[in-house]
Amino acid sequence: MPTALIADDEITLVNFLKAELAVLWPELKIIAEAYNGADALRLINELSPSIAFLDIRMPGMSGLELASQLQAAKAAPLVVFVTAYHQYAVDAFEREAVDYLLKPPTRERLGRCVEKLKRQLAAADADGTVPAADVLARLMSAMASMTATNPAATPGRLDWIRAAHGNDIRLISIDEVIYFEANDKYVSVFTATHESLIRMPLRELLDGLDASRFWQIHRGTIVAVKHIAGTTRDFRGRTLLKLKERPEELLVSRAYLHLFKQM
Amino acid sequence: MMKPMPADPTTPAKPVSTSPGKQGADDHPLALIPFFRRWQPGIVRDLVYTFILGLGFALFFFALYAYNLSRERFFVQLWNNLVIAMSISYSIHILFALSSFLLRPWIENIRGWKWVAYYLIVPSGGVFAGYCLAVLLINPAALRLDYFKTGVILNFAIVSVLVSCVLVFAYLVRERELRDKEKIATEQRRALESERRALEAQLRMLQAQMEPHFLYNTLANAVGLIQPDPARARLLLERLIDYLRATLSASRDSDTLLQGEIDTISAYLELMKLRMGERLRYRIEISDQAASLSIPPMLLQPVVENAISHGLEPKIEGGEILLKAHVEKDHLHVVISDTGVGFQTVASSKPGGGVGLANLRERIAALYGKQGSLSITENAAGGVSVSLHLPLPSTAKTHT
Repeated sequence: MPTALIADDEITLVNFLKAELAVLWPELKIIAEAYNGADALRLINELSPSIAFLDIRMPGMSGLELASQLQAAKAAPLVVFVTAYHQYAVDAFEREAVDYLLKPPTRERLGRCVEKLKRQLAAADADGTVPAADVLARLMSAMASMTATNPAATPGRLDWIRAAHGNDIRLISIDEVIYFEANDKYVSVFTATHESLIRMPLRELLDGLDASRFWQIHRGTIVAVKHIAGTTRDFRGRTLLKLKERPEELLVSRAYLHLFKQM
Repeated sequence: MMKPMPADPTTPAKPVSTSPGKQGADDHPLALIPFFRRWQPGIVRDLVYTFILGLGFALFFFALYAYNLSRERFFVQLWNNLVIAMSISYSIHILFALSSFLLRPWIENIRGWKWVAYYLIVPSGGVFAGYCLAVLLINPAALRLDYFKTGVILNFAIVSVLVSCVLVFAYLVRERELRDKEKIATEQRRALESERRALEAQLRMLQAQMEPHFLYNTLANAVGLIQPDPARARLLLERLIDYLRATLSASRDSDTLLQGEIDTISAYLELMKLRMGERLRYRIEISDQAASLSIPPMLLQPVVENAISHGLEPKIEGGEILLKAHVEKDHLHVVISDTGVGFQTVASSKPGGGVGLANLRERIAALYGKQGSLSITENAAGGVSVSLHLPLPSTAKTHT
């Protein structure tokens, strides 16, 4: 007898799916319900259901993370994603996958899904292989290519900086930053109104910053280009940088003078 | 020799005007000195300034020959100088006031040599009128004597015309200075304005395409509840309607009361509570004074949505959202804090996490300039607090 697990953080949707499946597929036995990713993984490993209905956005672990964890396991269930993602995403999947449901699934659509699941299960019984693995692999790669096109999700870019400000940890948007300055042990971050300490070394900071928006002008100074007002020379012939929203003048060391050649 | 320019009483707070002909008429010559620009133009100011100028000239001319005066002539001479200087000052003042009252449309449009002539003739006329007046005041009998010899009159005319020339030149310099200043100010205003408009448009777009996941998930919940719990399904749909009505109408208003914004947020939170159950708790603490203030729509709503989707939804046991608003001296202080997972996991839980807050910060900067601020801190117990300081509507108006 086929068994299934339903995982969704919203209990109403778990119940709804349970009720619909009871009508469409009376033989299917729902052996577990989970309300977060971690519980779902534990229950699947314990009970090894033949089918897992997974919400994509769940607390603890997303449906996709969960699915990739299951890929590693030897007896993975057939996975059906149930999600509220856009139609365009579904288009991409429907060509590849047997099982991707848009919330709220209609009875007709769920019926087709059930038919596919029955066929998959029958095929698995016939040749004794696990059909889930390659379907899942295709799903995962399709999903990965979808999220890769979203620039905001690109790792390694610093958008926010955690800075100590008195007893608080402030979150400073990278757009607010005017310059960073390294002292002996600390790095300070300066915005128009505040000076705060950050825990990241300047070297690491530099790797995370967009080189077209932030210039290193000295061994210990990185400045946001859009906040530069201009340069001046002092009596010793050194180049100093003037800022739009701060009174300080920053010293440009010889090694970085080429940045200001056109200015 | 002085040349008071009566200020236009209808535009007291606007010292800068665009047409060069009008320029001088709006200001007092004393305002050429930066120190005297602090006082906003107005009738009282101009009368006082004319007095100061008159006093200055009286003392200046008195000082020229005070050293060889006998004791009994000393105070008589000082008094005479004062009377002459004052009556000349105020004569010019009155002549300018009269001519600008009678000939205003014409004066506003004169250019070139006519403009120069106007500013030469009026003060020169004032010098003669004032001098006659002073002589009358000091010694009425003098009128019949030979007080007005041609030589005296000629000297007087030359001096007054020369001084007028100097003043006209000074006005031209000042006018150019003002025009440059205004050009810069207009440029900055335009930049700020266009930035504000761009943000406004962005906001409207965001509102128009309200997160589809949210809508689909909520409707899926409603569908799921229809059979097992029709009463709750109905409640859920009613809250959704409240929320949709509030958000969609907010996009058409430029300002709303904080209470209205709170009602929208309550509808949203109530709806999320129906969906998330025990995992969501919330409290709203808002003072009556704060509730009646007007604020731009959809300023707080995105922060609350952020707190749920980035703070509480990813957290297994859920948590609490606290919204506090009160008036603090001249600021409205709003804090929205959650006990969620905090900021570090935002990037992975949902793409585009910090973008909403960055937009909000830019919007506050565009609306309030330096008077408004947004700060984001991590709570010691976990979760994030977003606090907004907004100037009260009356002070905000002077800025925007």
